[in-house]
Amino acid sequence: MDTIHSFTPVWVILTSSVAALLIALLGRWPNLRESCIFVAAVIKLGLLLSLAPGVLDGDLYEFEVMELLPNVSLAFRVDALGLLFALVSVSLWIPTTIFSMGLLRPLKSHAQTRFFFCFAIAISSAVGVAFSANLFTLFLFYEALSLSTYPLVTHHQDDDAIKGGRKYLTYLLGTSVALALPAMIIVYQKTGSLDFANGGVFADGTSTTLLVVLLVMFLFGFAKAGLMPFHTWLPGAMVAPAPVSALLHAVAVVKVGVFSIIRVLTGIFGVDLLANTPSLSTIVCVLAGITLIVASLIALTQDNIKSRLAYSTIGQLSYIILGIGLATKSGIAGATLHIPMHAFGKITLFLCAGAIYQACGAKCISQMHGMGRKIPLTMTAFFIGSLCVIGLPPTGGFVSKWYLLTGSLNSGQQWAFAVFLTSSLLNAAYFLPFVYKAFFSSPSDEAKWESAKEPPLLTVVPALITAMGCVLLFFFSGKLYQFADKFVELYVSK
Amino acid sequence: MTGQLPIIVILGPLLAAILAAFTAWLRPKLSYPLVVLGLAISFTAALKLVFIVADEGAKIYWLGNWGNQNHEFVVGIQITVDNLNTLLLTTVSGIALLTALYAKRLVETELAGRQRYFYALLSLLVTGLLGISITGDIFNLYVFLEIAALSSYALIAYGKGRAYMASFNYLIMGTMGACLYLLGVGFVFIKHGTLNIDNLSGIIPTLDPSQALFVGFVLILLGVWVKMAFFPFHGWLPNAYTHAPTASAAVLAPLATKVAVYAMLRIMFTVYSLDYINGLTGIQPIVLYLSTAAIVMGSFFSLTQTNLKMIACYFIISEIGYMVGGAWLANRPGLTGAMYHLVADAAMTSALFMAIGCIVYRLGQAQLDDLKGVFFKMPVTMAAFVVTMAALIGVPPTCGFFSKWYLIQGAAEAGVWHFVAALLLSSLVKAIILFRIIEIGYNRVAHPAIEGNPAIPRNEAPLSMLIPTVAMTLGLIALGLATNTLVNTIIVNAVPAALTQ
Amino acid sequence: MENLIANFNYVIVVILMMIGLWSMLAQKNLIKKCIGMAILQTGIILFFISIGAKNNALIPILTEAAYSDPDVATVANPLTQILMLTAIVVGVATLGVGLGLAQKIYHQHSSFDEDEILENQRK
Repeated sequence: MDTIHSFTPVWVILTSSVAALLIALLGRWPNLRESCIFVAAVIKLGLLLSLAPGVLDGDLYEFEVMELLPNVSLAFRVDALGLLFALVSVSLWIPTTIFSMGLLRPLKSHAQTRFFFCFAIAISSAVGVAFSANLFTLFLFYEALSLSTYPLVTHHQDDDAIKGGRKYLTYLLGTSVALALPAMIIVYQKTGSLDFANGGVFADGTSTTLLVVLLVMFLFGFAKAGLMPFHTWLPGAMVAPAPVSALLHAVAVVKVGVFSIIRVLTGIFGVDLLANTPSLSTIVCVLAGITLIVASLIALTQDNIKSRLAYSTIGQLSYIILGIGLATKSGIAGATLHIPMHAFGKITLFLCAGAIYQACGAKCISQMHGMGRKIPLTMTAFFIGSLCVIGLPPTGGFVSKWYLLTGSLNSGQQWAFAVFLTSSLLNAAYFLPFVYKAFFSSPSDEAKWESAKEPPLLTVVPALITAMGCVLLFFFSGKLYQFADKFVELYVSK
Repeated sequence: MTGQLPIIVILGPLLAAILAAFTAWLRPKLSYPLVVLGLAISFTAALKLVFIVADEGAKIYWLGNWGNQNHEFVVGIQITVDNLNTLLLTTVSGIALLTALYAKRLVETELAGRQRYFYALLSLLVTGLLGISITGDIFNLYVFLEIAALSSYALIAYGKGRAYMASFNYLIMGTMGACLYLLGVGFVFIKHGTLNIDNLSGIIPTLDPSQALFVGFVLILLGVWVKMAFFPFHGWLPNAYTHAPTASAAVLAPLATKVAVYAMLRIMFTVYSLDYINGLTGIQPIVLYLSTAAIVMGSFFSLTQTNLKMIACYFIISEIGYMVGGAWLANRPGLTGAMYHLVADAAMTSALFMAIGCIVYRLGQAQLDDLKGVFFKMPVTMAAFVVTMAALIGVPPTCGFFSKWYLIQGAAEAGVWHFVAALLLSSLVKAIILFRIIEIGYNRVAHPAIEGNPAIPRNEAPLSMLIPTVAMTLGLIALGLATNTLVNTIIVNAVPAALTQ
Repeated sequence: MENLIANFNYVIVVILMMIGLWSMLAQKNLIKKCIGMAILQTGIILFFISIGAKNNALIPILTEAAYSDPDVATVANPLTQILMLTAIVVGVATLGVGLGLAQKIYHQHSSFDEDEILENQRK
């Protein structure tokens, strides 16, 4: 357990910012522009992997840029959870970029430079959130992420896009400014510190009412986590191009929301406080539980593929929050593991949705009957992705759900166990019939079916890669568990 | 030489104003460089004073080295530079200098053929504002208040159309404010027989609270509130600054109201004292409610406007609410926030009006509907505009974020939750306005990169305007990053000592 | 009542200021607004002068003999008078600017009436 003063975290964040600058400068030469992204992504991944052995030994990498307010700095600290999240976002950046090239180039989409530029900035911000050493730095990058993804959501620049973008910003900026920011300032005013620490920052005997109010403000303030009733921005944001929905609205943006909540619960409130104050953990669990079930039920009713996926995402995010709210070791480990597992599963599904649209113009599930036989590769990837999200072996989702279920039993909250199981059944109910119909029922729209063919390689291959990832995560889950274990070791004392 | 710095700060623009007025008769081309020189001298002196005062403490300067400094009652004219006003002096002279550099092209087109006395008036205005900030005497403060006001009436009346009427209304309101202030000074004088600020601050705590003292305080307060357009005395401001020529508005909007806020802080915490303010238990909540009302009202009306300048004017009104509220919280973070916001808001408003000026220069006006495609026409200006708006919203790491941080912290400490809510509401309203402008200026136009859509030619503002705008905008970020240094070395010494122990 | 008579100067000052304020706020005619402004300022000037006045006091001119030890009871307070000299200058300047603006407005709208001018502007 060492604390190492290192500039590497800053380099990791800067690589994609530098890449963004290059992208803006090289806008006229698309090939050069996109190779920049790959170089940056590989460098970033390399830097992250170089931190991994140390982090798994229990080291922390720290860097303080400058003190902005008394006792509050712009500072970075890499621990197991942050590194895991950064690794997931960056490694998925590569297939998404390939996919974007495959999707945007044939369409001769406008403003591709802006698209890739904002994408790179968004990745920087997500990694910034992952590496934040205190709530202040986290908030800074959280806001940067909201702002940098706005142009991506409104990429099409038609009325729908503008409407979706408006909703996106209203919810994300509105909640963070109106709830999270004042909550953060009150914490600072009461305790004088915003650093994430084992055991939290609150002194013993802080009034429970205040804690409850702050907790609710934080839970809803980080609306990127999609807790109901602040979830409707996510389905609205589905007007974005497919790669944006894939990487940002299945991985980076939403996971940043959940990640922020994890940080607040473990680093500001502290797991012990959560476990010892029933009202706090009950609030977290109940809010997450309701979201979990309701989102899954709504997903059943959605016909548009992307909105069904969006509601599924809202539900899965609450798995993670519920896992933390249980405040047991295996619950937290399961929640941590669910970040990469769900990320791989959901990005596969979104990439497939994009590929399906490109292949046969289908946006709705009811149009998909029999399509599996025309586009088998895409639909296979879709199948694996849905297995991962449902939580069936041999995919990674199984492992995380296993720990979450164990956690709910350990905590003695049997109802949470029931909620997890019910939701998984619902997950199966909204994914599997779709896959079944795609492969086994007869096409509903003959003309469309005839003209459909497998989409270009650049769009199928990324989906297949991430689908492979889902399976590999199952077999290498031990390695990932080490990360979760380190994180639990750092923040849970008992 | 360094001993003379305090007087140089005001002498620079004063002499420049007088000389420029004369050369405007004889050699009109000379007046611009003269004024720039005067402002540059003043800025350099002010900047130097910041460091000197931060190191050595307050500097007192006796005009003409005349005056009985050892006598119990001071005779003579004193000017004081301490930690509370060095920053403001630098801000005022710095922004004035930058605006003068920026305004040349704008003045040439907006006031074609009539610009002869513009720079002399501008320099006189800055003299008045610097005088208010530096004087050590509450009557001289009145005189400087009127110098600044008279030149701003003239600067506003340079505009077209409704400018005369707006300026006349401002004159009536402004004079009323000044008269109230003067009357208050009379009450203070009856009681103490001195007008020197240092003397008064020594005497007032020793006296029993009396009616005269209280009436004087209220009258002075009302006077400066009218001058700073604090709710409900704000009626004159939007029309005056909107119909003024953009070049005048660019220097008036950031500075004039802020200096009046400084006058209020000076009266509240140096002439009167923290204990006195805390003793006014009946008034404090009312003022806080008024500040909240100012913020809410300013935000609401900015939403209903369709002219960019008008929107910016209502921003000013709500920002005044920030500072008055912060000052009346009368605790350490609140006051720190108010003092920091004094500088931050001056910089933000300046950057905002500079960007609007660039837009007006190219588009002729600043109605929201005219902004279609403006992001393609003037990308650099609009980038600066977006950053400035982000600062006003309070996006970290710009300076606007940190002033809000301190103000909210202060309000939370004092338990004044309506003020917290108002601050957050105003952030959200500004965010709505920013994205409305982005929608109009960027999204509501056929994207020129799509094949078949007409290209939108670039038509950026001239470099002489663009460079100051961008510099000011970058300054907002720099100011935000320097918050900790600024607060720990300067503002901490400006906050009443009782709060920092 | 006795109190009022003893302080009749302040009563007059208050009346003057009220007249001034009223005509600045309530009058529609721009020139009358300017006149009100002048009356308000005169009220304040008188207020300051009466602060410094004393019964049977002389004008505050220092003679050679009294230089070292002036008898303050026999002279009026010079400070208020000096202050008001400045205030008069400020007042005159303000009035000048105000009347100048009123004249410009008259050129524009051929009227001094506020309502008419606002009506005109709306067109």
